[in-house]
Amino acid sequence: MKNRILVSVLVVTTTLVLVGGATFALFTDSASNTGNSFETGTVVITAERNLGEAIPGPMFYTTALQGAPPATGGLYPTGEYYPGQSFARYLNVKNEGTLNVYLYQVGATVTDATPGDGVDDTVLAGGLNVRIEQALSGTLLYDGTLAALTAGPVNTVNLLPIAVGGTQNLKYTVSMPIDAGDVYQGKSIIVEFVVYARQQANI
Amino acid sequence: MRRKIMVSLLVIAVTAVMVGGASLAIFTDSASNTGNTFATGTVDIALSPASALVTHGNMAPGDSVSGDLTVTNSGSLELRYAMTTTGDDASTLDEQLECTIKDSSDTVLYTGPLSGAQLGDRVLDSGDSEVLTFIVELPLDTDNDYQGQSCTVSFDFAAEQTANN
Repeated sequence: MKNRILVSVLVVTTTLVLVGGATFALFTDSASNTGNSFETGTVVITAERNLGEAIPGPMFYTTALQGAPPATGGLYPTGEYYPGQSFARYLNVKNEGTLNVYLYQVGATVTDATPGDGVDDTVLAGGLNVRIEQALSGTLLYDGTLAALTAGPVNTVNLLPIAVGGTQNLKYTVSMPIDAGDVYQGKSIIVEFVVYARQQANI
Repeated sequence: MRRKIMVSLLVIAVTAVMVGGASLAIFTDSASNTGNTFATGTVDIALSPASALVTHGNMAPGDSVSGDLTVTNSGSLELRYAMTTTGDDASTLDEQLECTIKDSSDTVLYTGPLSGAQLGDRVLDSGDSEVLTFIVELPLDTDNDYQGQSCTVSFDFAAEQTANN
């Protein structure tokens, strides 16, 4: 009797060991989804003056030579500014990227054209008003002092859409209020006007 | 248990800070138009001589003195100027003295008491100048009340831009 029990235990134990040591061999397979590629689009804009003049070149210039090209001088010099004076010029902004954009900010930088003479000409930025709007519809982007524009970038009053490959013609009007004051006499500055675009999607 | 809650709160707090602090990094671009120049003009009126145009000491009734004043627009903008006279509060001699102002073609622009000498609205283009002749005379019928008196006056010129004005 004891012998049989011993054998049974041995058999059971052996079986358990055999079962415990065997690897699983279920049926399996694998498959891949390849070719998942991602490419990002681009937000790219360019801007050129747009009054029928040679490009590139500044929109506003006091003397013809400052408005080059061509080397003989730009076609539409403004001459000097004084209280009550105002000029409008145009900037053509083009979407050269692959994503639709909004023009959403504008800004400017102002530097003294005569540095080192002990007079800070950049104060003139406080005496000039800049109005930026869409030329055709008058949709307003910015209306305020040049000084406030340099503190920017400033969010535009309205978002201006430019579809891929499309353009927007902006009208810049720079004027000197009639009550500007003598502090702005005899000042000379160089200004860079900047426009900013962002993706339209998802915001 | 309390420790687990504390740790969870800490993780949540740190995540919130990280999310809140992140700036929006959408796609953007900018374009510039450079080299725009703006220059303002000047209104600048200059006088020559700058002082003592007409002076006379030891005047007797009938004496006169004249001087030529060159008024120049030394600014870049066309200007319009006017002249008034600051008299001498301490004296009445400036009211007794007679002043005549003429332009270069001898047209009389003012004649009357020196203390009230004035000119109105004369226009000068940038770089232009004109000569005004001032003649100051102690009238012959000036009485003894005016013996031993003196006065000093200044001719004050004010100019403004003509554009948009």
